Amino acid sequence: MKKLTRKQKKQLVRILITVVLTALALFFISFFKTNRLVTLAIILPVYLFIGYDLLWAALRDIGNGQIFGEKFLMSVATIGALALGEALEAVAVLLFFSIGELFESIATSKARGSLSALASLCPDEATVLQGETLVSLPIDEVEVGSSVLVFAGSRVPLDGIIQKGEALFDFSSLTGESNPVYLKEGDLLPAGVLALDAPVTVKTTHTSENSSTARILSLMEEALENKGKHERFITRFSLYYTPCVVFSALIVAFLFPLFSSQSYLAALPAFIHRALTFLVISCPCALVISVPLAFFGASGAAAKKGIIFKSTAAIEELASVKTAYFDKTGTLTTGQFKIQSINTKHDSAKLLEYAAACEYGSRHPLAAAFADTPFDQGALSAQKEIRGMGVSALYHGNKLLLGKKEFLENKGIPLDMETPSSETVLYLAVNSDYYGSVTLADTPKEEAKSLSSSLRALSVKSVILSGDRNECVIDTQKQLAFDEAHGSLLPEDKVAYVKAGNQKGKTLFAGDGINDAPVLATASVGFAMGGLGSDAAIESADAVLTDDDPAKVAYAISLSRFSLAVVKENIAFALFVKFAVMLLGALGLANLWLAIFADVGVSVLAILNAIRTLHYHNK
Amino acid sequence: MKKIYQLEDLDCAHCAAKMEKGIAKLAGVEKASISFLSQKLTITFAEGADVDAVMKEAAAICKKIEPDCRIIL
Repeated sequence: MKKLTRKQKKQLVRILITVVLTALALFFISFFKTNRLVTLAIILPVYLFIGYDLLWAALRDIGNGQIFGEKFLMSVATIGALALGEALEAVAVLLFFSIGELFESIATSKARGSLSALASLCPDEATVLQGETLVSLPIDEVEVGSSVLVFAGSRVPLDGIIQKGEALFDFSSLTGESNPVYLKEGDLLPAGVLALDAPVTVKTTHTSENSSTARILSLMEEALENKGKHERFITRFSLYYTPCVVFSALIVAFLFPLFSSQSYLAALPAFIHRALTFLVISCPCALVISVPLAFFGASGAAAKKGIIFKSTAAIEELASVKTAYFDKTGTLTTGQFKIQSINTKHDSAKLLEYAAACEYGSRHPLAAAFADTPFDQGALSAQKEIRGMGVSALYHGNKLLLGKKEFLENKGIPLDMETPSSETVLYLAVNSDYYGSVTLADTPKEEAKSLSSSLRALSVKSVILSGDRNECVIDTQKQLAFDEAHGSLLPEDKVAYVKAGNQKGKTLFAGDGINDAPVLATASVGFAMGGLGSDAAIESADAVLTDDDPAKVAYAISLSRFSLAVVKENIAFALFVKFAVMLLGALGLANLWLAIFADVGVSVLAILNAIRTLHYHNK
Repeated sequence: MKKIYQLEDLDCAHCAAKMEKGIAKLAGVEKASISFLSQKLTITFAEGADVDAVMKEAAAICKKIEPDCRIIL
């Protein structure tokens, strides 16, 4: 019970005093066997002590025409109980009602706190380099393009690019990834990450309100505004619930006595007493809070793992996903090419050396595959890249040509070996003679390897949709054990596949979000990968994975199922208890004690249940 | 046009639902949504709506339902 607000502390003290006073009063009443009037005189001060603000608020509500306010109904119920000589019941109702309210207030402020924890990630001040001097400025005064000094062990105050220095950074607060990341000059640095071992100078690229953390925060807050099916149901329900209960109470109080064996007037007090139980459980508050609270907790738990949901509706939809579609390159694979096989009649080590020499310094994605192959830099000259075709170079006096099949054929060099022609095979000619070929392949991400089995455990079908060549896609499918794979697809083909999937149930699509925008929008739930930098991804997706890890999709599904189960439990449980108490009340089997216990008990249990989502961990 | 307002002392979740319903019915309001947990009111105004006038009415609705609750303008 730490960190209560002043209002909450005051309320807690008041509740404790009331408990003591009630116990004293109870002792006094039973010891002296006081009559009704004296009992009332003893209890009334206690009643007013715990309930004065509620009675005052009830009066104000009536002044405003709010006859279905919970405060008014509680007041009617307790005043009715006092009038019927059930003074102790009246106090008990108010006491438990206050306990319930206090609990609700603590639970919601705790949930709110979990969101503002994210906001406190960024320091309030930045150390800005102005000429030769260091100036400490509040972060909202730091202009784009300023040089900001980040000390070892402190957090990056604003998004930027490393200008000077290199260090290990802890991204765990943003992405949930606990392994430190090494970054150097020219690398992007989002606000909120922690510099671990060395100071760096950062050139800022965004103002504080546009920083990644601010964007995540506003996304999460936006999420609460896009209410899901269950939340809309419960708010609509709450608007009708109270009037219905009050109306039923009136029927029990004034119509039921007509059918009593006693005369109407003689039976009336007993039936009014029954009706009061209705008023006590007329407040739907716990129910109304517990639903958004569960989703709120879920988005908090997800954010800790680097999954940002843009709406609570997305969490609901995700729970019933049947088919999960994934883009291949960049999503399931690293997008970095590695040498897969070498096909030559000559020396394969020599072939690699030649290829590495040709690709030296190239920015082509395939060139990265040769970065680790040693060659003699001094012997390389006349290197020339022909865009979209290949590279020519002189190396140790040999004329090298490396590139597509067409590149060699155009130069009149016949290929004397049968090799498949594709974008990821490079052909080498030495002094106008065909030498051999290297097949390159994109490597699957380490995290992606367990993905299909996790999805299978959740009975979700896993499918790869890729624009890449069919053979490559099938190859990745085999390595990652996906259920299905389709290659050579255009963006509109992907949309067609997902549309077909939508016919069979809910779908999800995870992709990099730039060329995948239409398909992200088509799927029931679209996951954009590495969305921290890309605004296009954030726009079209329903959820953003901040760290490119596709395995988080499976976690997100199990989290959403868990939250939905919690929500359904809460709705079913609360409705069941309330209706059961009303039924017992109408039959005269429940008194106000039971009713208030049921009401507050349901609130407390529903809220505790909802908060479980905040602490959800995948087993 | 969408605007987000902070609410103060909003203590009751189903009161928030009532306010939301009331504000959504105001002339010049296309959509209104209150998040009890973040204590924020999001209003999508209709084309050419008088924002000040709408917010005056919205504040009155909030006050009527929960006298302590204020919209921070």
